Amino acid sequence: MKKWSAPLWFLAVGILLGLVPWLRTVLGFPIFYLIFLYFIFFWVAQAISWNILTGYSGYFSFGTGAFFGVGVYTMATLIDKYDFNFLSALPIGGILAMLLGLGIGFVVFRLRQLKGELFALLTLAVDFVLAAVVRNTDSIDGGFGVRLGSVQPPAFLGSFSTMMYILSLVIALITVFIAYSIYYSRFGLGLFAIRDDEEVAEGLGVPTFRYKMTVFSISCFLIGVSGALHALQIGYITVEGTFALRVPLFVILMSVLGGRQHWFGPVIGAVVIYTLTDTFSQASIEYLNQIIIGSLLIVMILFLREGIFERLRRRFWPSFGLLLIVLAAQLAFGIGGRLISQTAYAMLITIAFLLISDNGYARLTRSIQFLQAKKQVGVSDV
Amino acid sequence: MSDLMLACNNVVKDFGGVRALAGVNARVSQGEILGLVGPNGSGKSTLINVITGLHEPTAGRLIFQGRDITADEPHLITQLGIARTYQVPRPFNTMTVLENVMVSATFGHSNLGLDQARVDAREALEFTGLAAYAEAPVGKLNLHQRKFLELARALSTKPQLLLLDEVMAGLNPTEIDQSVAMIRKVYESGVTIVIVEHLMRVVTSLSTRMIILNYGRVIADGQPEQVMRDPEVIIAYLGKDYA
Amino acid sequence: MLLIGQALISGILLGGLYAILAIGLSLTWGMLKIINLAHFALTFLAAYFTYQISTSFGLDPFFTIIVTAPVFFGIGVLLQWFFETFDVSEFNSLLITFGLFIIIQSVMTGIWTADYRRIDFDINPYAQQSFWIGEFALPIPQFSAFMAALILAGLTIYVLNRTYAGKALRAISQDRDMAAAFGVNYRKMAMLLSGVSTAYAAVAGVFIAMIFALFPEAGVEWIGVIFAVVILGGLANVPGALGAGLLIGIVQAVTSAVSSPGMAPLVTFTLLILALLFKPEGLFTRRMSL
Repeated sequence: MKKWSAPLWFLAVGILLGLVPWLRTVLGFPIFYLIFLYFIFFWVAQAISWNILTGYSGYFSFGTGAFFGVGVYTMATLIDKYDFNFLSALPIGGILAMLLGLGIGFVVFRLRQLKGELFALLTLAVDFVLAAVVRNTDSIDGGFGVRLGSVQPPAFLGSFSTMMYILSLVIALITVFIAYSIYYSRFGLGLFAIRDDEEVAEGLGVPTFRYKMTVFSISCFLIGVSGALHALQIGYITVEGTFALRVPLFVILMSVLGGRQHWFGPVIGAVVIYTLTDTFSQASIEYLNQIIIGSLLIVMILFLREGIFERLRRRFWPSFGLLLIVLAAQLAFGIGGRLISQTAYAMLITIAFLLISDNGYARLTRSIQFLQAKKQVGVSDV
Repeated sequence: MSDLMLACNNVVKDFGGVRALAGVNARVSQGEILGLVGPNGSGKSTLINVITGLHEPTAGRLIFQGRDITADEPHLITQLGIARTYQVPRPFNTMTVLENVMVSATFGHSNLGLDQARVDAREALEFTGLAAYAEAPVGKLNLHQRKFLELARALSTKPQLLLLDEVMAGLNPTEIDQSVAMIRKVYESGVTIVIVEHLMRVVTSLSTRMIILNYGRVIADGQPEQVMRDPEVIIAYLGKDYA
Repeated sequence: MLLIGQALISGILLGGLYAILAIGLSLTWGMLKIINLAHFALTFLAAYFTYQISTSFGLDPFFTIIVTAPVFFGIGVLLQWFFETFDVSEFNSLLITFGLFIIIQSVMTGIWTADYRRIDFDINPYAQQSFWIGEFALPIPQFSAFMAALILAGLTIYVLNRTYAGKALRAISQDRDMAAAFGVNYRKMAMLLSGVSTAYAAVAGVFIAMIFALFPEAGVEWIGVIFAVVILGGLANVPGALGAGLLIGIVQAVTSAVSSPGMAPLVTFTLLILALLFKPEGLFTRRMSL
């Protein structure tokens, strides 16, 4: 249920996380962790934005790449060719992505016969078209790529890494807050109705066209802003890297894994997947990373289509405990590599635990309770 | 009592090469229960879909309480006061029973906030006897209960005209009697009803007036007893030999 | 003029290759309601197979079809068995095959690395040889692919319309239960169709290995084009797939020649978007009335 205190919680989380860069100057842990968290926030923003459209309204989009690309290239072009201030370029990236979305939506959402798969393929096609357009437009990229020089952060934000960290944190927080707000709002109820049965929803008074356009715009705007910021992180921007299937794939998997039906699902998914990716991303085994990602997607669709979030809630303490135990074991025995990798392995094992069906889990807990009861009987006998 | 509520003027609907409605002329007056009857394929469901805005007619006009709704979007038509139920119930599967009705309560009438919508939704569930199932997922309801859920959703939009599309399909005799009683209850609360139905005994006992469709045309229009004795109607249903 | 003419010829020949790929995808999508993104990865896996077998054993690439096609037929059968066992819906098949695509691509990267791989010209002399019609060159691999497309399309059309198996397939795609009532075993027919579809993909892969240099991500570039062909041609519409393949091949080649190679995907995907919007059942299919 929506609580009036929610904005305060978000603020609290924001402030806590915002203190991390300061903590780094005090405790001195490597800058790597700051960058790691930047990426976590980036993926959270991307996955949540995607889910606001796809999870809430049921319109499955393969086109994250297109809107992400608009954001990236807006930032790249404005800074590189027009000497724009990068902070003002951020919202512009979002607005342009939103306009693209509005344009697509205006044509597409009017058509009744556009089934789910066709919308998905259409958004994929938009991604390819946009890539081709950008590749052929010399004033944007022209196939040469764009190399962004270093950007001067404003004084109060400290170093570049700190600035990126703070900005991505703010964007992620706002994005998640928007997802949360929509989830408990009248607008959200209408979206869920559209997802479940659009024709019936329209017949019951939901203004489906208007709502679809609105949610699509919001989603595209957020993806664009996040992408615009990310351009600064990438540094050297190419068409292939930007419009590749990597971003849509990750975003889809993160939401599928975390759970598409709850506002918080993609956050979990983003944290897990990125941690796993980072672990397996050493150059020599990058392909192993892809294999795990692909397999996870298949396993989730087959066995836990609604994602791990609901089950995690129900089995929270056992899961959390398992995670800590596996992590602690690795630390104790000195195995598993760096802290991030150790966390990744612990997460994998916890996911495996969550994949146990509800029936299986019930049997497990019953047998544990049975064993406990037996022990008690044994004690009282003495 | 005899104010004109809905007028269908020469409504034609083509789907590609098939003419589903071939010029339907019909009137619904306030305060009546109009039975809409006809053999399979006569265009009953198409007419309902056209009235509620799902399809735009190829020709002809639809006037509801003086307003031309021919080209209006479905959600607007609902808000103006026309509601419908589906022959095969189509609940929102990821929501609870209460949430299902909240959707129609908040969107189907005027723009109600969620809190007021929750109150209205509970009222609608009370009316249809489903109050006990409010927090249950819809998967738990049987067919009869789902049909009542359809009804609750439609009622929560505070309609003046309710279109019932084959509510009795798939129900056993007890459930049919309960449904008839419920429909009477709805009627008594002041809602004008159009009931599409195959089950003759139900339609003739409930309706204050009947319209028979055949091949997309109205072939009879009047009191149940006289309409059922109309030779053309008999031919349409049973063939020439019985006329 | 010579340029355009040559572009036309190249486009038609390439279109044949597109058609081979599109027919398989179109059939499984239209008849089995499986949207198989892995189709592309399997094509390139077959291409890498061809490369490997040719290179390791010095075999003429044409002959590798004898090995590759049956192997991939088996893979296709296995894939459909998998979908049947887990009762996968149409939309979920898209996601699952997406995952498979990624996995297969990673496996290919793992085995063959990201370096470009091309069959040596002494094993594959065809890549440099052409038939000539007047001033116009018809490169042998492309020409063979085109002929193969015609043969396979013709064969498929014949089987679908004139044989019992074909009729059974068309029946199950329209009404699975009804077909079962007439004694058609859905499972068997579906696995058969899937096997054939993947075998076609393998054939395409063999030709791709003869024409192009291979790299693991190559499949991605084909996804858009082949989907464009499938949708423009109409689901499960074999002559449509052939026609659309040729059309797209020509469009691409002519665009490349007249404007620039980079514009070709732009035109193709714009066509696809228009097709999805205005004629989702395909250019070559009659719109079904109510």
